Amino acid sequence: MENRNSGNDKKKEKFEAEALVHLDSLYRTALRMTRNEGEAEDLVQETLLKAYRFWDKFEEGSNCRAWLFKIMTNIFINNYRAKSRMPQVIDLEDVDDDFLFGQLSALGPSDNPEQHFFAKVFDDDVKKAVEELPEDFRMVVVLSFLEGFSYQEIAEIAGLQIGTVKSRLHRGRKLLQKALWDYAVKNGFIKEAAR
Amino acid sequence: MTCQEALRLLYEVINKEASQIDAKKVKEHLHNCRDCMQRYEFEAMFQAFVTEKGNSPCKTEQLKNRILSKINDHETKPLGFFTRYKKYLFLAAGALVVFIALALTISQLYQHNSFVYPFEKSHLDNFATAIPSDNIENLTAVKNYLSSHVQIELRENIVGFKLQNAGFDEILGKKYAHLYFVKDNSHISIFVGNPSDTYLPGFSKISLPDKEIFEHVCAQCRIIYWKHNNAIIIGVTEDKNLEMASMIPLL
Ligand SMILES: [Zn+2]
Repeated sequence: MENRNSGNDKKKEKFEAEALVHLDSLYRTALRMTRNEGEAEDLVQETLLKAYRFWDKFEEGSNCRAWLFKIMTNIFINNYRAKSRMPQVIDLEDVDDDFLFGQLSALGPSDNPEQHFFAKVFDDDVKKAVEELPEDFRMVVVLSFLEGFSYQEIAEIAGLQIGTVKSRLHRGRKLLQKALWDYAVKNGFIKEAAR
Repeated sequence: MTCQEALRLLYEVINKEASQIDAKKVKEHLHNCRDCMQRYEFEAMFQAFVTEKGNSPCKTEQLKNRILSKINDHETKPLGFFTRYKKYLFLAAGALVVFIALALTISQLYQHNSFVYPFEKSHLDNFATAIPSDNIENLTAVKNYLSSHVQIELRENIVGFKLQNAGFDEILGKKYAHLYFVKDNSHISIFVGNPSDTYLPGFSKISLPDKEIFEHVCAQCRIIYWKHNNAIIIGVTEDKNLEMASMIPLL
């Protein structure tokens, strides 16, 4: 009885030190993916309880954070993603790769529009723009931009080919730049230049 | 290196994903090309900007306590219960094993061999001869069929399962798209067709929060199906332990 308890205590200690330390980063991602605090909390809780149940399956020395994100992504895809998924038709044909850079450069060199843009856009605008990305793009954008995972790690976490990760990241970035530009124009931080 | 080549590798350099050779070439180009350098600086700034703005701290203290108390519950309750009723649990488990064995024998006598679903057969045949799909035209045709029929985007990786083959099968004279997924030693066939063409008796209903799924366990396979938009989707696997949930995120 006592042995078992001390064994459990050790397991719990290790779990707290190695897995629970990633709680903030898991929650942040869950929030961007579910766009709802209650669902994000449930998703993170489910993820960590599952990780605890399978803690003995986790290979010591391997990347615990990536392992946790993989569990969470699987649960999200299976249980949380938009119930009736319509095909995601995104028309990006008319958005150039250098869309935001081009728009800002067109405003003229004198008043340093880039600095102005970066200073004016709020945290919440960025979060909202991320949350409004279509789900497939949002996932890779969050994992790369916000969580700093490598392309290879993202491929493993989300079950994608590395080429798919790159192309989704590319398109997600374009969509994000377009959305942030639209916010800036809408809120009057920036007057749209004729391009 | 041309501007075009440098710009193509820009984000891989910013994300530190480019090979050493590529990174060196790009950086050389940037030092000699003002336009590309400006673009590089801007995109690197944009990357840092999104990372910083999107990552403001959040309050997770309560959530942490909730999770820790769930872990404690998980550990203390089953243990107390288990030690107190250990003897009875073993007895009950023994009885259950005998009961299941009996039930299986009886159900095999009555159910199996009587009818092999054509979907099961097609899955097993395909399993024996599955080859990696490199027929792009075929894949495109299947993708088109799926998007027009069920409005789903075919993904080549689903919870670790990899699409190995895709094509069309004729089953009882009707056309079905057949997607063949593989992971380790598990195989899943997904058939998509017209509900009005499909007759599947003897299934039992499982209600999930957002879906009604029907399941049937046959001689060698487990078959599930559900309806989606104008189509019926049929999943077949010979791995009876496979989690149901891992078969449905196709949608
Ligand atoms: Zn250049």
